[in-house]
Amino acid sequence: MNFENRYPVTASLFMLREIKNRQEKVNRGYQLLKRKAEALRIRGRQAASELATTQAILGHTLREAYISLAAVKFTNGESNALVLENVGEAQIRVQRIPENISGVTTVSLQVVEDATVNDALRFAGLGAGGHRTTETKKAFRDTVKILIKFASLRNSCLLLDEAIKSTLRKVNGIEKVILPKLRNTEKYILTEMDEREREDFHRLKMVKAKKNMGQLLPTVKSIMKPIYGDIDNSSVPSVSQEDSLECIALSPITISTTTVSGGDFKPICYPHNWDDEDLLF
Amino acid sequence: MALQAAVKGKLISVIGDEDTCVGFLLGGIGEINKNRHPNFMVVDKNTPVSEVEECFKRFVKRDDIDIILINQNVAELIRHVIDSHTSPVPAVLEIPSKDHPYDASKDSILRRAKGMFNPDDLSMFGADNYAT
Repeated sequence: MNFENRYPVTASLFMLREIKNRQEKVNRGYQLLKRKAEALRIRGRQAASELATTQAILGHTLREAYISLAAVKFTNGESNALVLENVGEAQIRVQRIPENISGVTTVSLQVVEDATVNDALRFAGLGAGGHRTTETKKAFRDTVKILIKFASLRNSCLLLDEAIKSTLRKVNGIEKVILPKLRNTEKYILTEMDEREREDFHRLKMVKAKKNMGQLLPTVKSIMKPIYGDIDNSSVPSVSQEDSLECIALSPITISTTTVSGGDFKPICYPHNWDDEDLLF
Repeated sequence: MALQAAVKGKLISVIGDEDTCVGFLLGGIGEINKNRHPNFMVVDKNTPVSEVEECFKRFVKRDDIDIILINQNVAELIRHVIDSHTSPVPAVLEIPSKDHPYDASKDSILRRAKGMFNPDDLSMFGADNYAT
């Protein structure tokens, strides 16, 4: 288990709750972001397919426009200079309209035709009837409209692409970095708290063992007294040596039934010399 | 004046050969502003590349231009400048000219939109960010 990859927290119930809360929030955000990415992808695909069709129409319209321009040239002769010189004000303009596609602001462009503007080329080609020229004007105006639509779609495609990329980056970041980290932290806190509980349990057992010992010692003594005589007094020196030895041999057995056999637990040798400080920790 | 421009809308500019310019001017996009700067540029085969580049940069800088139309063969000349222009406004559109057929595969966005995938284009709509 990789405990390195976790938040620096102290293992406590409070932090555990906090981490769980955060996990919940992160999960919710993750779901939302995922859904947003999906929605954006759908819109992106739509825009892309529309873009492709618009491009096909555009190519066709533009070719028609060029052909009609050639027709104008054929009927009117070279009129390029006239057109290039007589430029006044634009009649077709573009207006930016901000759009919101599931949280992504894109700019869509719309055609604005200004009818009030004086058409400097109104009488262009009138010498040859003006019919062809009017046709060409119309053809190019249509082309411009399609081009504006095309540009708008292209813009939204670009912006959507960017937005999808950043959203997916966030989604992956949550999935691959933040969530595992939170999970690791939670696991760390749980194991740490388990460990602490075990330690406490062990400690309690030791305390209990010591208490039992305190109760047991007098009884053991009182049982042994009639058989071996008073150990503490050691009034009979010849026997006392053996008695105490036997008592020592006996006592670990009685103790071992009450104490927990911890791995690093020191075997107790002289029960009657126990002090408070000796027992614990 | 800015307010007025906002109401009136933005311009479309053209960089291209004579026929393209004439066509779009007939369509009614041409304008000469107060400083007598036109919003179109006629490129013939004698026009130096630096001038085209200069013009393109000027159009990008002008804030009353929203769309720049440029002939694809002209765009090829200043490809590095066009590629370095990544912001969506003003939109740079490459259009076919009369005597150069349009090559859609040169437009990276169209290429992706049409699904003509190159290995480096697979990133369309974040495909590279998707966890497997």
